[in-house]
Amino acid sequence: MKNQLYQQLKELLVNYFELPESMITQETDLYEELELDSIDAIDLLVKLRELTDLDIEPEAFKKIRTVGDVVNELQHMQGA
Amino acid sequence: MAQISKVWRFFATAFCFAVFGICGILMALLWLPLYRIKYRDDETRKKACRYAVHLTFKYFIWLMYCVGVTKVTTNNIEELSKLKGKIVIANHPSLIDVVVLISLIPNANCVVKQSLWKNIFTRGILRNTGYLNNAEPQDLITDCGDSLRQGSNLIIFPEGTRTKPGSPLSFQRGAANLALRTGANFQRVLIQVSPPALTKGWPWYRIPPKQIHLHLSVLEEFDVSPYLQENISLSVRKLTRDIQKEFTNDLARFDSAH
Repeated sequence: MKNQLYQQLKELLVNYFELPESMITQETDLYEELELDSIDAIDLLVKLRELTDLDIEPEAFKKIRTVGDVVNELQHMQGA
Repeated sequence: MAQISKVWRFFATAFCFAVFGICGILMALLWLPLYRIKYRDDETRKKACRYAVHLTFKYFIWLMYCVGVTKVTTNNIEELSKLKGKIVIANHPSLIDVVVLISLIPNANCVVKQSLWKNIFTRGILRNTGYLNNAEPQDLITDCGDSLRQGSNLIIFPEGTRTKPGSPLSFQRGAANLALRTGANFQRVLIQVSPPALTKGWPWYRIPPKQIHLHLSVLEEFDVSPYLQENISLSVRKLTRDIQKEFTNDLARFDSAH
């Protein structure tokens, strides 16, 4: 499950944000390393909502720093 | 002689900065509050306040010229006085760029960083003008869209902060995001400052060897409609790259011509 979420997120980042797949690992920082800005973060959130059908709150997204954090948050929400 | 000029411009610069601060406070205390009586409608009042800032900045640029601190020359600025609902993008070499731009655009709006909303000399004015705050990105785009639709022109420095001297231009994606999410076109403006002064990290008291010459060229409008495609995140990146490339080329071209 976790792996599937990770793959989906990776595809999103590659297809929508022009990021090379080789840059992305669980530990990659979305803002420092992938250079996403605050508007990208909102767009990513919207895309993830469409993809997972989860009602992700912007508040929950504010604490997130790395790719792994996003996967954990999504998994946490799916479990809840 | 050069030394005398430098000492003179030191005191003249200090004087101008003091005038700027004092006028900021006086305007907020004595002038702009009168508009609260004169104008019932909030948007009309804010527009009047922005026009007051435009006039004040015009006089301020004139003052800096009279005391020998700066000289401003321009190209094609007639375009700016009839501008409506455009995003004005410019490179950002110096501290006074925005003052010059507002002095030339009668109905200019701008996004102002958080620290100036707290600064005692500027906050009084900012609260009256309806200038936008960059704190919340999502509200900011909506607010910018509203302002553009009302006919204001939005001044944005795509670099996000002053150019690091000696470094190539590096644009952030905010300007492209605004254009593609509001549908407004860019009006491009090129700014050159020589000798370099009041750049990033340059204290006001470091006086350049001669009067600061700021040259402002109004370039052609940039149509963003070809970029309005399905995937906005990708379009924003492409548009950012393209305007950065154009500015870099134009700067190189203008530098070699002067």
